[in-house]
Amino acid sequence: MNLLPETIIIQSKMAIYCRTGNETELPGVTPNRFHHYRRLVFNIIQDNLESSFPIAYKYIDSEKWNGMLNEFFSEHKCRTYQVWQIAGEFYEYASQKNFAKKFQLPFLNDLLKFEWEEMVVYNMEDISPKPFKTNGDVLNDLLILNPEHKLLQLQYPVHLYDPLIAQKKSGNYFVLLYREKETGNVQFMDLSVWFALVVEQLNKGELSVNALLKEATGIFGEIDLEELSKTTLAFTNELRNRNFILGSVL
Amino acid sequence: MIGLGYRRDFAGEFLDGSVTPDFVEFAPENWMNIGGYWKKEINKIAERYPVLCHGLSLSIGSPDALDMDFLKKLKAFLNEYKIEIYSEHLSFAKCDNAHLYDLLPIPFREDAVKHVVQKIKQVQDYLERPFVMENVSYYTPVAAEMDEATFINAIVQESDCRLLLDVNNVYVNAFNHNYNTRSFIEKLPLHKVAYIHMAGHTQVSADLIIDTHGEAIIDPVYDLFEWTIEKIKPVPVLLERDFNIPEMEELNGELNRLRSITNLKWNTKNELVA
Repeated sequence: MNLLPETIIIQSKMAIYCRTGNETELPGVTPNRFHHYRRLVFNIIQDNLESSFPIAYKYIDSEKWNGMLNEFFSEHKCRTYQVWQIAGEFYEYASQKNFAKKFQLPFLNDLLKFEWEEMVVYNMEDISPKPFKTNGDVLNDLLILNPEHKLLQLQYPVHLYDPLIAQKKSGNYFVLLYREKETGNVQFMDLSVWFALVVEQLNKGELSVNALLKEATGIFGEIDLEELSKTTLAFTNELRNRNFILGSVL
Repeated sequence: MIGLGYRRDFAGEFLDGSVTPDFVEFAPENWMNIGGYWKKEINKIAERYPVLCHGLSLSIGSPDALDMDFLKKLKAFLNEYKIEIYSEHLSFAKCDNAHLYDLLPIPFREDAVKHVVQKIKQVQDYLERPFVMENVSYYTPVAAEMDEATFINAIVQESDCRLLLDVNNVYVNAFNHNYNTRSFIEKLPLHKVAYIHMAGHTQVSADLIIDTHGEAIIDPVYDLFEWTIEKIKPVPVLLERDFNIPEMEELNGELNRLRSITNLKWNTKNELVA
């Protein structure tokens, strides 16, 4: 380390001021200039998080929103060198610090999670699926799914309603987010707990759809297996039509 | 060759012929380790244009050590797209292990010179390609022991890196700190210039210009560019436009004006190597 302690302290003071906005003494600066750095740095954080969380930004009043951003950027040391990933660190920080309770926004964790994970799926590195055939038996074969997906569990249905309505509908919600191979667009599907389980298990590649149906009574107890088979077949066909089920294991 | 910085706001225009640079510059941090739509788009760009890279997050002037994980991924990206010139800013954007996402001025001090030189050498050794450092705009010096030109000279000479001469930044700094642009450029190690940046800026008060890349290049900056390039060998020249994106006709006009000046002043064509 060639830097003198004095220089390290000066640079650290510059950086802390940019993160917190708290006045600091810096030697040899031109008066009324250094505040521009705080403004420029914080603008980047604001612009980035506003565009990363458009729904949250729209529905959260500006005082609370700015309070969250200020606390996050002051207290949290951003680790990512990629600007788009600041949103993930903000979501993580907001969850850890329980911003939902602090700012009285019950839907907050779920909304940030949904918006962040959508971005993750959109940007994730390409993943090649395992080899598959398209002329198999969708009910009895082990299936290959589009690997570019995420399955989310939410307490509030922020994917279906605006957050102010969603916060009145606490429950167990499941969302499948996946990226279309051709367009790169992210699609989402609202799933029942059973269909979420089907997707999760099919993705593990250990059970076929029919094998899963046989397990269903063990999971749910007394159920109308015929009705469940019918809806599961329809669901499976929809996943095929959406190219989410790519084919059967070779 | 006259290039243009690749930005999402007008990415489509690079491929549909609306804008016609000779090469394209990527900010690697924006495109590293992503897939999907944008991966396909940058692949198309790389098939169509020569590409250079200009980084944002290396933070060469930071007291923090280099992020070797970042450098590893960066090197993979540079190799994947066969990037010959990788440049970065002579500034810091990270401190106390916290990224700041903007360019802060390094104190112009002797110890900072030694520190930056050591880090540049590390980067050059690791990346195994020439490394080009850009003179940045700054709005106030901090705890300076020497002037900016002395600072830049010392770093370029001692590290043997190349210089990215941002002509607009010279103009901005000369305005903000009340010095003469041409005298400043004459003090720089011009034989080390491997790349030039040109851009617009925004005057925010009577005595302060901010380097926004959000306006057209102004005539005095073109004049300074014309005067400067007489003194250096032909190198790639890049137009930076990040905000307030105009009609492509206007950007093409700027590219063509830069092309005309370089054609007038440089007899031989440059190649995209540092």
